[in-house]
Amino acid sequence: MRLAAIVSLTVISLLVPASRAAAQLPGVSLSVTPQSLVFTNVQAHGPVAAAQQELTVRVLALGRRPWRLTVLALGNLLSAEGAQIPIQQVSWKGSPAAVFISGALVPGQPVLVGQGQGSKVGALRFILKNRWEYAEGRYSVRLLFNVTSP
Amino acid sequence: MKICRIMITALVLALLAAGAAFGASDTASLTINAAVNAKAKLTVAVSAINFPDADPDTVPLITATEGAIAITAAVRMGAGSATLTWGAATDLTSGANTIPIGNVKWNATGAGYVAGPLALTLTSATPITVGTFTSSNSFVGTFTPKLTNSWTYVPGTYLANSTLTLTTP
Repeated sequence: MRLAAIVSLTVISLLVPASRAAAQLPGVSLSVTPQSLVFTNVQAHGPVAAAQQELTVRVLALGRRPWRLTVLALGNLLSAEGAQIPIQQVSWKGSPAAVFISGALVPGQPVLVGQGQGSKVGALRFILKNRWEYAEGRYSVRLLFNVTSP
Repeated sequence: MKICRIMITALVLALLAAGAAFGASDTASLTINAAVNAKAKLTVAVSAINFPDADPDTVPLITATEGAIAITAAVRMGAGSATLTWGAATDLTSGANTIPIGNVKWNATGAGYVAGPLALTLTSATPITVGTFTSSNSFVGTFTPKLTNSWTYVPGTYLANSTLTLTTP
């Protein structure tokens, strides 16, 4: 009876850290740098404006573990005055193309950025379509990158 | 004691197997910023307009050779409105002779432009507003200039300079 009680306590103490570890490591981890990008003084003369910096994406996965990377935009580009630029106007070009694909953001919907096996490093160059319709202002939006491994 | 060791070993093995089957994920955030500054760009299809000679009885209103002139006023702004003005520095002048610049009129088409047949008359005193734009956009329209013809005009080649100005708030 006493033995059963000891075993039960052990099971509980082992289960908690095991499930926590599954949500973080050891499967896969993600880093993106820098953590902010700027489209500076978007000129109205060209069809697009490119962010000055590329985004470096690092996916660390054990062995040849497969993974999928998605990006979710938490709304449109929004200015302090309340003006908006539709998030669909923001797209990116990924490289290397075999792993990181090109695409455009969709409001409130994760979009596939890349997929592969094992650890990979890639670059994303973000582009903003330029339009006269944009109101003057300073806009921002937050993106969430999520890597998952089955 | 032996039973206990066996149970714990089995438990650890079961947990390891379950752990291998669990999915894994990680998240990172990125902020995108964009600076959009005020801007104005005016495009007029021609840099000069010409009125040919005509008989005042048969052609009381001379249409410019260029016909309808395409114009594009592109603006980026915040609150307020952008304005397009047109002003002439002088009357039409040929040596000592003049034709009042107010005899030049035009109609306009296009959203934001002051529309209507011969709604506008050029003046040498103050530039007049020929377009008002209340949002950021590229506004396309046309101007069709006309000159009131008169037997009183002294023969000559007349010239006046005029300026279109697009201003954002």
